This record gives sequence, C-alpha cells and structure tokens, in this order.
Amino acid sequence: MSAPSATRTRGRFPVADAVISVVLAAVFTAALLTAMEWGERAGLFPRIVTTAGLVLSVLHLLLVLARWALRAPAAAAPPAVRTGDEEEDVDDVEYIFATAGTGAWLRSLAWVAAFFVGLYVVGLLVTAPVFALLYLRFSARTSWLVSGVYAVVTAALLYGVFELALELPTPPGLLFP
Amino acid sequence: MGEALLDSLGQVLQPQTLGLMLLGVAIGFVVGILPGLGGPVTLALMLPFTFGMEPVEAFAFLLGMLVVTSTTGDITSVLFGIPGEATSAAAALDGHPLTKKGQGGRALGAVLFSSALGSVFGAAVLALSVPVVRPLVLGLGAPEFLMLTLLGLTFVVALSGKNLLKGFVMAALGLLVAMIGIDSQEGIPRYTFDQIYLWDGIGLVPLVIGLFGGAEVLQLMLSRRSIAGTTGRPPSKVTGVRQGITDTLRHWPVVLRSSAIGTTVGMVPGLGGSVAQFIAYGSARQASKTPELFGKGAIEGVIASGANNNAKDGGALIPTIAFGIPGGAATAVLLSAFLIAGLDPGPEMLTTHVDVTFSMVWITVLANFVAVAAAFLLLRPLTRLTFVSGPLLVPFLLLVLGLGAYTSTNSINDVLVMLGASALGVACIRWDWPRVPFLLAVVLGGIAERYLFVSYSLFEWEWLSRPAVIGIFAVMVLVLLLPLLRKRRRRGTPPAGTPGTPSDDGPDPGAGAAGPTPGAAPGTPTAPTTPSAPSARRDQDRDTRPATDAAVAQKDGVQL
Repeated sequence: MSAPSATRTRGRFPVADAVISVVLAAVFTAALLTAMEWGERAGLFPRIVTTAGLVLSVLHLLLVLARWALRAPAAAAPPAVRTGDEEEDVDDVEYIFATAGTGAWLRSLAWVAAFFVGLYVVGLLVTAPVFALLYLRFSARTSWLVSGVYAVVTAALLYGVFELALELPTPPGLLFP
Repeated sequence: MGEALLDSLGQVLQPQTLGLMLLGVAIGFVVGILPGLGGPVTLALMLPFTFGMEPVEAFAFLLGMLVVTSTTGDITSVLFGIPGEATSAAAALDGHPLTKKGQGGRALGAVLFSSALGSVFGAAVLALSVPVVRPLVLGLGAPEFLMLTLLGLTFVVALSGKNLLKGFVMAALGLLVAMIGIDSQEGIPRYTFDQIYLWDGIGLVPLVIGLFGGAEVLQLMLSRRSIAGTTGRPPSKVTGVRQGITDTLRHWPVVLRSSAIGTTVGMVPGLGGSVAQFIAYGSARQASKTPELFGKGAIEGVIASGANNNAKDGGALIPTIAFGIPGGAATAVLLSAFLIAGLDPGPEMLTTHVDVTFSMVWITVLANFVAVAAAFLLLRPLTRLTFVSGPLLVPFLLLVLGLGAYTSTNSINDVLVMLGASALGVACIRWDWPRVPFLLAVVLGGIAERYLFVSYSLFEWEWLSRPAVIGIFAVMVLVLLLPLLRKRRRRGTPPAGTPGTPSDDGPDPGAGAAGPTPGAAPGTPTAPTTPSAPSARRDQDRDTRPATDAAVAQKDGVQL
C-alpha cells in the first residue's frame, strides 16, 4: 500500500493538534531554559510548571501521532465525514469558524485590523464613530441614514457617558495624545 | 441577634439609605452589563463619593452596586457570550448556547432567579456564620490554601472531558502566563522580555475580554446573523422565562450546592468569584445526569453559575468583616470603605458595630432582589437585543472590547493583550482546545506560587503529609477519575444508535437542534428550534453529520 493510500485509509492527519503541541512544547522548553537561570526561590515554581507543560505537550503530541498511526482501517472515514467524537464538541462558533470562507475571514480580519489601527493612531473617540459609519454602510449594507445615526449615537455615548459622566479615559491615539 | 437584625433592617430602610442603595443598584446594573467595566474598578471610582456618609449609607451605596454587577454581568454572558464581569464567565458557557437556540428567555429566567436565591443563601450564611467562622479560617494554613487553589484548577480541567490532556496543557500555559512579571520573592523580572509593561504581569480584564468577547465578535462578523443565530424577526413576547424559573426550582440541589460552593470559596481569601464559578460549574457537571450537554446549553450550568455568583458575595464579606482579609479584588477595594467610614474590621464589627455588619446582610439581599426584579421587567427588550442583526452590534461590541481592555490600566498594551487573547480564544475554539483551564490557571497562578512558597518555607515538603492536604488531594483524584469511571461504565451499555440508549460520545440527548432525538433512527434529524431558513439549513446540515457517521460506523461495524 502506498503512503498516500495509507494516509487516506487512516483518515486526515490532525495537523492542527500536532502543530499546536509542537509549538507549546517549544514555548515550555524555552521557558524552562530561561527559568533555569533564576535562583531557587524565583525559579522553583516556573521550573515545576514548565517541566509539567513540556511533558504534557510532548505526551499529547505522541498520543495524537499514535492515535493516527494506530487507527484501524475500518474506522477510516472520508475527509468530509466527521466522527461522532468530533461532533460532540461542535458548537455554533466552532462551526462558523470551521466553515467560513477565506474571503469572509480576510474581510472580517481587515475590518478588525482597521478598527484597532485607527484606535492606535487617532484614538477611540474618532475611530468608533467613523468605523461604525463605514462598517455599517459598506459591510452591513445599511442605509446612509441608519449608519450616520448609529455613528452619531456612538460618538455621543462615548463622549457623554464614558468621557464626561464616568470620566474614564479612552485611548487617545498617537495623533491626539 | 434577632433584635440586631431588625434594627439594622430599619437602618437600611431609611429613605436616604434606601435612595443611595437604589443609586448604587442602578450604577451596578449598567456596569455589570458593560463588559470590562468591572465591579472593583467602579467601586474604586465611587469611593470618594462616600466621604461624609454614615457607615450604613456608604455600604448601602457601595455594596448595593457591587453585588448587582454579578447579577447583571450574567445577563451579558447569556445574551452576548461576553462576560459582563470576570466572575460571569461560567454563565456564558451554557447560557449563550441556549440563547443561540432561541431559549434566551429561559436562560435569563434561570440565571436571574438562581441569582436571587444564591444571594439569599450567601446573606444567610454571612448572618449566621460571622460569630463562628474565625476559628475555621484561622485553622487553615498555606498548604491547605494551596491545595484549594489546585482543587479549583482540577475541577476546571475535568471540564475538558475527553480533552483532559489538552486541559492540563492549557492549564500549564495559563500558569506560565501567570508568572509573567516581577517575582515577589526575589524581585527579578520573569518572562518580561525587557518590557516595563509586563512587570505588573498580564492583566486579567483584557485577557478575559479577549478570550471570550473577541471570538464572539469575530463570529458575528463571519456569520452576519443575529446573536440568536437567526435572520428572522424577534418574537412578540419573551417565552421560557417561567420555564427558567421552574428549571431553577426543579434543580434546587444545584442551587444549594452551587450557593454553598460560592459562599465557601468566596470565604477563602484570594480565591474569589473567578474560581468559585468554575468549581460550582464543574460540580454541577459532575453531578449531572447529562454532563455531555455542558458547554452546549445545559440549564444546570446556567443555574450553577447564577446561584454561585451571588452567593459568593456573602461569603467574601465574612473574612473581610471578621479579619480584615479581603476575599478578592472587589472586597479589597471595599475594605478601603471601612477605613473611610472610620471602621476597623475585626472583632469590633461583631460587637459595637454589629448593626453595620447585619446591614450588609440586608443590603446584599435587597439590592439583588431589586436588580433581579428590574431585570425581569426589562427582560423583553434585553432578549430582543439578541435578535438585532449581528453586523449592527459589531461596531458597539468592538468599542466595548477596546474600551474595556484599555480601562484596565489605561495602557494601549492592554488592548494588544486583549487582541492576543482574542486570537488565542479563536484558535482554541477552532481547533477544540479548552479555554477555561487556561483562564483559571492565569487567575490562580500567582496565588498558587505564593502559597507554595510559604508552605515550603514553613514546612519544607512535610506539608504534603498534613491530613487536610491529603484529604483535598483525594478529592482532586476523585474529580479526575469520576468522569473516566463514568465513561467506562457507559461503554458497558449497548452501542450508540440502539433505540433509547443515549451514547456518551453520540449526539446530545435533548439538545434540540444540535442532535437527533434520543432513540430516533439514524438519519432522523430533529426539527430545528429556530424557524429561520438559513439557520434551519445549517442545523439540518449539522444534524445529518452524526447520522452519516452512524451509517458509516454501522456499515463498518464500529461503535462511534
């Protein structure tokens, strides 16, 4: 049996679990090496925790590999079919994250990035209403009127309630320190 | 004692005191609903206003505000999946899935009613135990406190179910994050990468907001539906509230047990509500006949969170009043109010100022009942919020995320932490790694290290042989072994797909849209609870998958 065929028979390799385990093992290793440089009092707890984390993540990686390698051919399923075990933990959010297209991801992340870059550069007082106007108009496809009213209410709420009434400082931004 | 209780009730019902309490309740109501704007922060902001007030007035205002944040924080958790308070995170685990199934009214009814009952429980324990609790708390040492923190962590890891190992790895990661900052023993910076911001460690508020709220906002952006998961119109009236109340009464053992856990853990200095909620949640799951529903909309999970959350306030006040030891961040701030009011916590509060102590009992109960009554009156508009189009909420929720994270320490770095936590939260959901053990480990890390250090300094490793330590350790082992034993026992039952035999690994019995009806033949999807077409299609799509699996498994002779 060729390797690709064997792979198909065993089902899809759990890439994400394996990669996450490796990354976490690397993080714990680096943290452990750093902790070894500290004195006993400062380093005792970090050493215990990082050693435990390293052992656990390596153990998880080995289990992931073992489960995949030892999976009986009879239990094989086409990639599109999910097992009952997987179904047990599926909730709406997981389902949406798993099924959203690349375009939807890129658009959503671009909007989020725009909001927080705006927050960093021009502050929240400017960003929040401007973002509300643009996002609602061009992403949510609401009318200019609804978007505009929403933006004005956002600005009023932010300034009136948080700035004036509660006197909570909002992120000022680089341009308006 | 009875006379003192009545006397203190008379003081609380004075018009000015009552007015101040209602003002505090109103502020707490709003603060609790707004994610990130926590009770301790608001308490600190309001402290200056208590100068010149009588002690009972000051506590009516401050305590009335504080206890209500727990109640209304649960509302945000249930409706939006974004905890209004760090102590309301557990309510989101099952309350929000219920909202998504169109049962927001039921979830709110349960969480609010159980909150009211929990507050009565906590207040009653506060009233009854103040004179006798001192020897109990003084009998516990650092080793026992360390084991209690580890017990809390064990309960949460056990929640990971079949992902137990992942739960432990995430807990270890959380403990690692908790160690970031200046070490309290030798004063050296640990894992700070030469960043002064990290000297104080990673803030809990931006972390909580990011882990839970960030993923929720992104989900709204991606799905472009309402929080209730439908593009349809909201119902003309909120249904299921009475069912939620009935559920709470039906699950009275969950209410009692969770309230007891909340009060007890709230009493333990340093653990606080962030820990108590997950212990109560884990305990409810352990005791449940349908533990597989937890995390997907188990009403017991909602009840446990609500009851525990409000009972813990009464418990947290006990060490604060009796010993001047705050049970958590909020009571630490509240402790300042004692000094402002000219009171010394300790024996004095049980003798000369016992009226003030008992007034706190009444304030806890009254404020909660006022808040719950107000929330029930506003239930319809609150529930209708979940039917608002998702994209319409996105700008407001992003604002709340950014502002909530920033107000933690007024640093833009907190916003970056929140974004990092959001990414972690999304990754955890996407690839099925549990978030809660990570969060709790961050909360407990510093406490655990401190108790470990004190235990080691006092007893070296001999503290491991203390009877209470061994007892708590035995409970921890039991907590981890019980689910495995239960699973093994169920494996002895007929395989999935056998009519009338729900499988541990199979679809949720009674999960409505999430799975086929127990006992139904493979391939028979349950009718979706949400009537809208896109939602129905999605649910139907999901429902067919376990059926397909069952068919494949039966064909191959394998039990899923």
